[in-house]
Amino acid sequence: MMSGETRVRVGGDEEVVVARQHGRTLATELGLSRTEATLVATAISEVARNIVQYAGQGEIVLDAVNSSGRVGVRVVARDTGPGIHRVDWALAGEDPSGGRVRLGLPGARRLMDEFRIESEVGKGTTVTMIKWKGGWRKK
Amino acid sequence: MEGRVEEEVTGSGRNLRLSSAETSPLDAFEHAYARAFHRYLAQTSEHGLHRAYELGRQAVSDELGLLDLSAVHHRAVASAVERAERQDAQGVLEAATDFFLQALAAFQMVQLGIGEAEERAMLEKQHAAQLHQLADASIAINASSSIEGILQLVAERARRIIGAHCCIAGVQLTRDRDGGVWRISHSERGARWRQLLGGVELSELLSFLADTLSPARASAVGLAGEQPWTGLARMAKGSTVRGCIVAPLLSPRERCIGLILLVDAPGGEFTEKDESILTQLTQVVSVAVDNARLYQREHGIAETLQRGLLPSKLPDIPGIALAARYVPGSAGMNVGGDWFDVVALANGRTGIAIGDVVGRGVRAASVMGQMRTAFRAYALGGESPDAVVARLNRLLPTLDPDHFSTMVYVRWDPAQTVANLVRAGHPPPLVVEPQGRTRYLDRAGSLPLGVLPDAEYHLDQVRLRPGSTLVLYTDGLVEHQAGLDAGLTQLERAVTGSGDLQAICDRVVDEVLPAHSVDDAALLMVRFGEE
Repeated sequence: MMSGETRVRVGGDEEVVVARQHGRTLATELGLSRTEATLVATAISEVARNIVQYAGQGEIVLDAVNSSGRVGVRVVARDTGPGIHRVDWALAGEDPSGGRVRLGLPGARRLMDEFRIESEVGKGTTVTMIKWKGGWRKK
Repeated sequence: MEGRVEEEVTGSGRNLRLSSAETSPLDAFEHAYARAFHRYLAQTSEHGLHRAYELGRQAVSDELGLLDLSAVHHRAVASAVERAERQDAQGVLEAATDFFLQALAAFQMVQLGIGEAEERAMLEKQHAAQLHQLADASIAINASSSIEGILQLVAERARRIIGAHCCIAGVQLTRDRDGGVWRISHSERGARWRQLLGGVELSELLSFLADTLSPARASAVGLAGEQPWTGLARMAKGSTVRGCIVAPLLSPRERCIGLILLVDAPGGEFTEKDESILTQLTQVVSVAVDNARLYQREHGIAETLQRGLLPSKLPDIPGIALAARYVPGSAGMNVGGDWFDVVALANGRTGIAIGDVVGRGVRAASVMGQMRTAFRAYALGGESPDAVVARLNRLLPTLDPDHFSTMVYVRWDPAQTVANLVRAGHPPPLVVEPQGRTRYLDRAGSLPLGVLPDAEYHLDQVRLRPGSTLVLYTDGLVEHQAGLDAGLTQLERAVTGSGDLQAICDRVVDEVLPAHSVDDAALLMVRFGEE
């Protein structure tokens, strides 16, 4: 089992691919199914996309988590960009700048088992997500 | 020939542009998908999967469905398998699964997001509609001036806006001994909650709200054994109640004076949004109820005052029979300034008057009282009716410059065949001849009192034969929705007939007075030549 965390600086598509690769590898090592690993990679792409689009750059931190006998992949995406004015809007797929771009955020929340977002205007945004092994959806 | 080739080239270029403009999003997507898929097959890398993720997202923004995406994928796979060597086919299918899975995951992710946004948009729309209904209800509630009307209205509206099988709205003041005022609105299913009215369960809720002064909500489960819902739970035994919500009606001093209760939400439990709507409704209702209490209090004072100012008993005057009725305006509205009086004058004459101080409330009633007293004083002074009315006209602005008044003064002298009459802006008196023929005394009248300080009042003469009846009334009696003329015609029809004058008078009021009349009304009937 992989120990410690993996940190990937994200500033463009190439790094997104690297982060995805790490996420998929970690998920596979932890015994998550192919579908689950795909969902982890999808969520990574989504949050990484948000970083590139809204903050320019940031980082994605991946590690394994254990909780009451369950194992899972934790993805933390962090940036020091402009932050999200209204997190509730962002999570509801509302984007004053228009488009469906941020619809990935509420979607990612549904794909992953745990999802938390903290954001402060002018300081940045941190999204924390976990995909548990054996759970397609949170109960 | 050269020219022709060129022509062909240009032509084909135009065709290309044309065909690219005609390309459907599905065709363009299929093209991009096939290219990315074949690249991925050539080298199965995370990069290729990231591309699949992007294609999955793009499928949503191109408004393609899941079936489109599957079809595109399967055609790409089919063409790859066709081209692959037999031993590679298995590898193609393996790689295809990863690629397709990734495209599907991204597709689903965005679809979920859209679903959530649409769900939210729907909720927002619902909420906006509720707020609109809330505004409508507020206007209607504020237009209603009786507590009963307000409570009935809010029970109906709250049930409709928030959605519940039953809504009960009530006001109970601690000094009420009669259980207060309660109104209910319910669906067929909610009918059983009628038994709550007058029951201890509402008292339980009221004393709870008196302490907390804030709304309370319970789910079906929470109803079981928690304060203040135990009474309701007992009542609901054996049937489904999907939640209850209650909010207090507050006095301006923040005392609980009543409540609005909603029982059984059709769509599930009551939500925080429902609570917010209900809270806003209770605020509107609290203010409206307080206003209605003020209205009713003032109405009570004015009515008492007015009844006190009107003659409690008509005088016994030889040779004439008298009957009168006064009907205050509908509850909640302030009383007006209708008055009448009959006074025995010197030399066997009789002064008969009716008037209407225009305006409402305690002030109009008080002006009316003073006018009536003054009329009595001036009439007893023995001056002719036109002089009496002119005096009253000069008096009125000193009592209240804001009011004006109409009146009729008839002075009857049994020694004369004619009576003297002054009509100042008042509806025309009606005379019923002994044989039953009727006629309105509608010859030109004079100005109402309080309009011109030095107005002159025309003295008219009217023949009143023995056995005829003079009918004096105020406009409240005849102001029909169908118009004043309709009212006058109806009055003419109702007054005929013989018998006891008071019985006729009561019948006329019953038949002529518009239902739910806002204005007050007075009717005075005088029959001459009878004991």
